[in-house]
Amino acid sequence: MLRLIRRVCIAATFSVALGYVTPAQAVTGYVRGNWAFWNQNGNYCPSANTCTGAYYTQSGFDTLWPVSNAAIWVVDSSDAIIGTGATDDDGNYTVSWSRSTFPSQIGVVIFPYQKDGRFYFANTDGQLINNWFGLVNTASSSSETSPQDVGYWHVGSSTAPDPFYNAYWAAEWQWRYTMNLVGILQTNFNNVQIRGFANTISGYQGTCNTSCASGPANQVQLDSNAGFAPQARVMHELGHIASYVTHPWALTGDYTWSPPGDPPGAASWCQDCPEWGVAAFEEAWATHYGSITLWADNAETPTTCLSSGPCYSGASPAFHTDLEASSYPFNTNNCGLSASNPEARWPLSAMRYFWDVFDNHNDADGDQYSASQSHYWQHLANLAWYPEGTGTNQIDEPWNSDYSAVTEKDGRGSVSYAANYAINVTDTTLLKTDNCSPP
Amino acid sequence: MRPTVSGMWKRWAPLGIGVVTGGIIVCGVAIEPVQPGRVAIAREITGAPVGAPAGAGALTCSGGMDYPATVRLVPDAVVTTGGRESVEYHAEIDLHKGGKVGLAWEADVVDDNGQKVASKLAAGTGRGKAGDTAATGAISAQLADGYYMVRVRVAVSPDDAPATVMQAIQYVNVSNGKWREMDDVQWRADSNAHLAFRATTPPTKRGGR
Repeated sequence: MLRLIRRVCIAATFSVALGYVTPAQAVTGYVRGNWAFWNQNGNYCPSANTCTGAYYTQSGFDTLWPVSNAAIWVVDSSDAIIGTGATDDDGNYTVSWSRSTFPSQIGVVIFPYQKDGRFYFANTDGQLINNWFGLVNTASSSSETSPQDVGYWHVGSSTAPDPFYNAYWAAEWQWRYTMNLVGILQTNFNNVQIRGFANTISGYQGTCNTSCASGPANQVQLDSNAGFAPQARVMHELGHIASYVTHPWALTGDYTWSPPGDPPGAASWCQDCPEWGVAAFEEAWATHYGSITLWADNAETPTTCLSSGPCYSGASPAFHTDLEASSYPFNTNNCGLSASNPEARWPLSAMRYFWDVFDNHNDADGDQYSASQSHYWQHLANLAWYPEGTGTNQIDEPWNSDYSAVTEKDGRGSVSYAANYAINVTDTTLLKTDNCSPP
Repeated sequence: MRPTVSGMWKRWAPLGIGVVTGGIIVCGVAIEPVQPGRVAIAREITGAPVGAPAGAGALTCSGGMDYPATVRLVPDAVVTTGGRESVEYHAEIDLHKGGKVGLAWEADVVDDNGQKVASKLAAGTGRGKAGDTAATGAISAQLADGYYMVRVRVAVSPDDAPATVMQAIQYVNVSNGKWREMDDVQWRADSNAHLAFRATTPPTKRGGR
C-alpha cells in the first residue's frame, strides 16, 4: 500500500494528470464517494458571541468538513492513473475511469489541489500532497448512473488533524467565495504553489518564520505553525498573491517606521503597530480577502487575528482584533495620537477602512455605503485601475522616477486606494476618516 | 535527511551538555550527571532566538504577524533500555510578546494511524513576559517499532492578544529498537500518514458557507 504514495511523489506540476488520455478500446467504469477532513481551523466565531454575520462558527470547529473542489485520481494496482476528476462543494465525487483491460482493483487519491488549478499544496520538497485509502476490488460493472460506491473517507482525526487539508479548506473558501467573484483574479490568479509546513525551506523562499508570499514567483510558504491559523496565514498570504496579480508593482517591503528623528522601528509588523503607509496598506489589503470570506457584510463584531482559536476573549473581540470599530465616529476623533504609535499607522486602521467600504452596517455616522451591496468586484479590483508610474497615487508611488530608491514610503497606501476608488467607483473619504485616516 | 541516533548524536554526546528543567527559566548551560544507558546530547544554548526577517528580496510579504511565542523540541539524551533506544526531549518556549503571558503545555506521542500512544507527558503551566524562556520537563517514551509524532502543544495566552495554541513536532521511526528522527517528507512518504480513515456518514458540515 505504500508503493503508490512513494511513486506519487509528484513534482509540483499537475500536467501529467490533466493530460490523462482515455486509451482506445478501453474498459470503462465509474466510482463515487466522498472525501472529508478533520477541521481544527481557528478564527471561528465562538458560541459565547451572537455571531451575527459569521460564516464560520464554533460548531464547525473540531469536526468533519468536506474537501471541496479538489482534484481526484483513480489509479489501478500498478499506480497507473486511469481516471481523473474532482470533488464538489460537499466533497462528493463521481469519476469515470478507463483502462485497456479490466482492473482487478482500483484506488482513489485525493489532492489538496484546487480543481481548476488556482492553487495547490506541496510539501517542503515540492511534492504534491495526497492521500488515499488503499485499493478496493473493482465492481464487475458500473455506470454513470450506477457507479461503484467506495464510501466516505476522511483525512486526519481529532487527535492528529492534517495541516494541509485544514489550510486547503481556508484557501478554497477564500477562492470560491471571494476571489472567484473578481474577473481579474479569475484571469490572473492561477497555479499558486503553497509549500509547508516549515520555517525554512531551502531552494524555495528560504527562512520565513511567520510565513511569506512572493508575487513574482507565485509562491506561498507556510511556517510550521501555520496550519490552523487561517486568517493570518494561508488566507493572508494568498491575499498578497491576489493583490500582486491584480496589478504587479515594484516591491518595497520597508516595515521600519518610527517617529522622525528616531532609530528605525521593528522590521516586522502587527495589527496595532505603526507602519509606513505602503506596508500597512499591503498587509491590511492581504488580510481583507480573508475577512470578507469569513464574515458577511452585516457582521456586528467581525474580527481578524493570528490564532488557532477564536479572536475573542469570552463574548467580545480580543484586544485590537475588531474590524468594526464603531467607537471611532468621524465627528468624535478619539484615534490614538501617540507620537511613537499613532493609530493612523496601524494596519488595523487600514483593515477597518476596507471593512467599512465592504460592509452593510451603518456606524451611526452617515455610513450608507456598502461595496458588498453595490460594487463588490470593483472594491477588490481597485488596484487594477491605478495608473502606471511612480507619481502620486500611481502603482509604484513609493519609488523614485528611475526606480533606484524607495523615497515615498507612504505611497501606494490607503490614501491611494481612496483616491483611485473615488475616480473609478465612489468617494469613501468618510469611511477613511472614521478609521483614523490611515496614510 | 537527518543522521540517525547512532550517527550525529552519539558523536556529540561526549560533550555532555543539556538542559532539563521546568517552569520559567533563564537559559543557561547545565552539565548532566552520567547515568547508565543514558547518553546526553550536545547542545549549545544561546538563549531566545530573534525571529529572522525574510531574506529573499522578492517577497511580497516580509512575513505575517509575529507569533507570541516560539516552541521547539530539544533532544537531550539517548536512553537505551533493554537494547531499545529512545530519545529524551524537552520543549523550550520563547515568549516574544506581552507583559503577562499565561502558558499551559502538554506533550504526547501519536502514531501514524492517529492514535495517541502516550499522553500528558511533561504537562505543566507557567507565566512569563516577553523575553522569557520556559522549559518543560523531560519528554520521553519507550515506543514499539513504528512511526510516531512526538508532539508538544502549548496554549499561549498573552494579556494583550488572542490566545493561540502552538506546537512543535518531531517525526520519529523506531525500527528494530533504533530511534530515527525523520523530516516531514519522509514521514508522509514512509508512514501511514497518507492513508485516510473510513467514515460511516457524510461530513458533519456541508461545503457551503
